[in-house]
Amino acid sequence: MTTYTMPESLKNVRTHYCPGCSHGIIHKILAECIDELNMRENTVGVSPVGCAVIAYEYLNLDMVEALHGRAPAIATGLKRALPDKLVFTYQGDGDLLAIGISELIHAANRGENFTIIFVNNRVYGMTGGQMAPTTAPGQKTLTTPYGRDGKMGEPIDVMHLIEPFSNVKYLARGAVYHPNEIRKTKNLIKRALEMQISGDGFSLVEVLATCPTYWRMSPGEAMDYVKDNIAPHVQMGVIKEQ
Amino acid sequence: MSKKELLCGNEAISEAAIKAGCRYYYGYPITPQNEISAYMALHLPKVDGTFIQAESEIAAINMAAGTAATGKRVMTSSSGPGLSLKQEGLSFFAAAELPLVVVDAMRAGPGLGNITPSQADYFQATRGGGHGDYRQIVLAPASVSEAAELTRRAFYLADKYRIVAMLLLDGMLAQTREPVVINQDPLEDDFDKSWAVTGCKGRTPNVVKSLFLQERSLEEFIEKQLIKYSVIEETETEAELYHTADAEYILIAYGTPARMCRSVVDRYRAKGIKVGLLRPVTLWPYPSRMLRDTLRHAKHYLVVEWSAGQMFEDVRIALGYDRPIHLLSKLGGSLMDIEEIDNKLDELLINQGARI
Amino acid sequence: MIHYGIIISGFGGQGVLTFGKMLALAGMEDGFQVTYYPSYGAEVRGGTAHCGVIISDSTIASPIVYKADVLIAMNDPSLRKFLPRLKDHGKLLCNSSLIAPDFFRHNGRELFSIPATELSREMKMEKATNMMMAGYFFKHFPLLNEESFLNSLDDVFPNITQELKTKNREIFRRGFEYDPA
Ligand code: SF4
Repeated sequence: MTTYTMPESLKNVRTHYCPGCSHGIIHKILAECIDELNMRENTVGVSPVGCAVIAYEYLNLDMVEALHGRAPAIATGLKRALPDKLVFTYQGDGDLLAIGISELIHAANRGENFTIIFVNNRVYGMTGGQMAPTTAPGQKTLTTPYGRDGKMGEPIDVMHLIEPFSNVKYLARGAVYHPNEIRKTKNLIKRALEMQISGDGFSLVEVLATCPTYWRMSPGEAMDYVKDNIAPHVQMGVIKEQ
Repeated sequence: MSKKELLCGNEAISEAAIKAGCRYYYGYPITPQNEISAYMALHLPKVDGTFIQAESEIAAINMAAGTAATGKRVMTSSSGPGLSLKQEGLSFFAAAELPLVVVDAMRAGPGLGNITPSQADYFQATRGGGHGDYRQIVLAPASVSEAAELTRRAFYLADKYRIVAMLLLDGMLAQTREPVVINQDPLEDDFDKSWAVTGCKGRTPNVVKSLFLQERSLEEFIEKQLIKYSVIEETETEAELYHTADAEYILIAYGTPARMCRSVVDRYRAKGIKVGLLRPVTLWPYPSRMLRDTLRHAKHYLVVEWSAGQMFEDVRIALGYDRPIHLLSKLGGSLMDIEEIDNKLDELLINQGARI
Repeated sequence: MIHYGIIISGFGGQGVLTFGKMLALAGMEDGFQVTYYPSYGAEVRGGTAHCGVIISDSTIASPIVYKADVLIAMNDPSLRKFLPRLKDHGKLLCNSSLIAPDFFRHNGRELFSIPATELSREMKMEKATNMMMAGYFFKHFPLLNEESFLNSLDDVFPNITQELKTKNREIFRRGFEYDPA
């Protein structure tokens, strides 16, 4: 019989995330991966601006807190100085694809050898539910009260953006709405970290996440929404592996 | 001892940085500081260093933050418009207490302005162009040799106080070539870096951050910084006093205009007129006390500046309204002519009834 | 007291800045205080390029050559632009290949001219017009050691071939020996 234990890379504290938020699950599987790779003492993580800004309060790791969108630049400076350490950024959709899109694209194109954990919940959570670059057409947010229309652009698919770069070595997308999906996503993250450890180059794993608070749904409804309305319309699993 | 070379200010800073143990440089092209990235791109790989031409000024300073967080020496550089972009980063460095050496080779602004040399970034450099309550050390070389020497010092100060040290030079000094011998020995570089993120082997995790949400935690952090800033003011303030001991007329200038003023002092002293020069080497902390000490004998002050009179305000703060303070300013990066300094000084002297 | 301000001017690609840098290096080698200040940025692209070199036996206050002792003009527009900055008794060194002949009738200053572009073209190295001018300059202004100047080629072009060095020296020599008469 296996007993569940707290991953060592996760602190045993209560988080500030809303009930039903995906961040907790993603933190946990990320921490498990780092433990399983035996890298906890050799990892530096970068937290973003967004709901996960204080991820360092929950992850039991050396961490740097980046300014809004700058995590890939911070991670570049970290990894160049510490080539033997495991370096990851943990970023939301606004952080990665709006204010930080330039840092993302150029780090990817240079093939910086770190991993981005991209938490996509299609909305700005920390600032109160504004439109994100990944907000769906017609989706109502604080700043698209009539629904996102074409004048506010279309949702940006990060995979389309960076897949063509030859220095991008691993791209994958998972979800966390069901234990099976959580397990699959954990494997994707682990693979990305393993590739980084072998020095392969840039990797990114997108996680389709929920924000029940600003989706104005119950946690269960939000999970179902990902299962029924988001995951079926995008490519899941490994998107690129070189 | 290394050999004498003919380097421009930008190159001397680059070489001095490498000799001071800087192995990481991130920058973005902008005139008149491009010799720095060219030099770093050529020479850093030879010492197993890292050069990245960043995608933007903002990325460059954030890459620098990543490397600084590991405790390693790092530099970035730019000129006015680029420095404006870097301000979010500088504010972050201050809050995260990370050491950094940053160079501003000043061109004329506002806006894209002109690429010609200027000193119009003084406010931005000394007041902190980024948001929040913070300070950064600002060093102002007046020759290529001094640019190299102050670079060495900047790395030392940045590590010693966990602070940003800026080298603020006019574009002319950045571009002028002069003979220089770069000092090989770095100043003390054995600082406690137990705060750095390197993987938490054998210790509790370190966090480098700029967010202070707990009640009073930001207040307490700033209080601690203020103490540090006053130690810096006490210990690191520096100015060159050139014939000021008995001077009745005191010129105040930094950078290239200061070396022009030195020759003006020589000419007037040769005529027996008591002129002196106070040249701030640190612009923050500003040598206010040294300036006030001259009140005992000085009758007139003349600030010579390649801007509309930005340092002038620090002189005013130091001296108040006790004596007349005059200003000779050169705007928009137009060429500064020594003759104009002579003329301005003559005018003052004649108004005082002096025979010249 | 020695204090020489030299302005070198021409169009981008004539080796104006290289010439200036080499002069400053030679001055340094010969134990003088020197400064070299180039035009930089937009001016370099296509338009006129110029630099100021100061060679002095005492501290140099400003790297700007306000009033030149010598103006080396490698084309017509740069000559007209910088002539007002030549001292009244300053000396003018012209590349007569690229300067309109009418100029020479009106000029009152001490004038040395050499068809440097033509001569270097004859020697199949128009790119080394600067070295042709340099040779001629050294003949009339023997302030610095010729060898210090020529050796500085290695500093300015660290990867220069022996063949090119020899060629540059030949061109310098041709300029030195040029006799307008
Ligand atoms: S606002 Fe949304 S993303 Fe942020 S913690 Fe709450 S549920 Fe999670």
